[in-house]
Amino acid sequence: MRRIKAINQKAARIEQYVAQTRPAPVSPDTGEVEDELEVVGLESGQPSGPEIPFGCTLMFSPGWETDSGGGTAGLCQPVERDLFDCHLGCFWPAQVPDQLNNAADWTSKCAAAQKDWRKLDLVFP
Amino acid sequence: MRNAIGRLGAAFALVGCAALPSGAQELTGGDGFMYVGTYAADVHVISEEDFSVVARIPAEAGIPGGLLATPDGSRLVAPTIDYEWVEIFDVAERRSIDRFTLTERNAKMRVRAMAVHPDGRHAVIMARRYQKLRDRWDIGDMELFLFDMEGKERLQDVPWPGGAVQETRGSFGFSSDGSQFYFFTDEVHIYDTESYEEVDSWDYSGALDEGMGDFRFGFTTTPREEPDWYAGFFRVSEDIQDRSVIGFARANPIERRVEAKVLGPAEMGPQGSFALAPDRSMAYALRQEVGNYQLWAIDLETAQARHVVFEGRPRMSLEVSSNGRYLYIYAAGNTVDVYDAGTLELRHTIDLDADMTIGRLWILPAR
Repeated sequence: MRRIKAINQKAARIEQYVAQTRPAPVSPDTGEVEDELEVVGLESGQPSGPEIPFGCTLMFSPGWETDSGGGTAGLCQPVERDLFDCHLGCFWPAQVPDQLNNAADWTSKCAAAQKDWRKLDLVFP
Repeated sequence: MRNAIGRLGAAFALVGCAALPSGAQELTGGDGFMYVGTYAADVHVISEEDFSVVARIPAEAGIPGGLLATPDGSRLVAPTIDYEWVEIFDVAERRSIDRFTLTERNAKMRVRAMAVHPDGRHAVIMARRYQKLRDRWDIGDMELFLFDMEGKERLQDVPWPGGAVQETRGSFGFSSDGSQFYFFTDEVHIYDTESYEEVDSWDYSGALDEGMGDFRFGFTTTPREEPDWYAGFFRVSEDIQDRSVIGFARANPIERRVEAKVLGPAEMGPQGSFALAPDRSMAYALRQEVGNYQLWAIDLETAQARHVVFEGRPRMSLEVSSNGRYLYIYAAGNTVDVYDAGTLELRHTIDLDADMTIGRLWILPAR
């Protein structure tokens, strides 16, 4: 089932490129060409199915809630404790802004998240 | 120190916390200063004498990320957390003295790793280029090159070890006299710093006793080690009992020597954050699992280890005070917890006004 549809020229070119470079999947049982798999996040190699990515802002999936082991028990406690590093090496049960490209200053009014998290900037896409 | 696989059974002395009397010991970590980068866009300077913040060095290029101390301890070099700038701080003057970026118009260059030459002027930098094109970003291969931090000039490319481009952050460093540059992979690739050509390599995989399997070692910077020595944990697979064991090792790429001792089964021992005491008689380490945080003390002569289970948190790092009496647990948040190195009990918490950025807390002598 296709859930994403190209609506501009760039997206159409990406679809065309992928169709040219990636052969359609073939069923190992019947040998017939199968429908394309839905979009797979952070795909690498030949996945056997959708790969479950870990992390928060890397996922393009608002509301994704997981720690580095796929659960929630390893999330920083309290959540503000490691808030600023969420986009790098840690995980938090919410999206934090993309500090690398689009919201470099979102922490500028709040140096200590546990103390003054209310001063954090809200970033709207 | 010799290999000690035969001591495997007796290695872990799991005696819990052998409470050494601390008496009325004065709460001071020595006469050094701690340096840590923070999200307040500065470097906090903390006195070990009374654990107070004595200075905050403002950064001018952005929020400093992982700090690197030059070998003589006179400067701190800090890539910013967006990886686009590198800022240099003078330790004695407690001020930012220089900064550079490799980013150019429409081409971001992000520094992912660097090592500073003992001359304090040159550095080998691993960076990746992100070129903005009309309709997309072109993400380049990782690049490795020699950079002049004073002249702000890229001097020459450094060939990748074995000719293979590394796509992930690499580990590399210089010998103490600056004559050799090492790139650590499964082997140590040795470069001459006159030409920055790879001149030799050291396959250290067979450095342990026969039967212990391949030796893999991280060659992590170890501030209290002797020049050209690296210390840390390693794991090997023990075939006889079909389990993984953990040990600690020292390795010297110049002398091509490895000194190792096995501690015990890996599934119950320390995991990382290896930190040496100033006299190198003891090492300390952490085990960090959800609901299972352990602080370990290891006697490096006898390979006996003891530990306490404590109230930890995800992602901690560890360092030892200048006088060896206290342990600093830091990273992830705005506090540095001070533990007694003898009893492994919490003695004090240093409260900072800002969260620490990722990277090492450096302890440098007063200047």
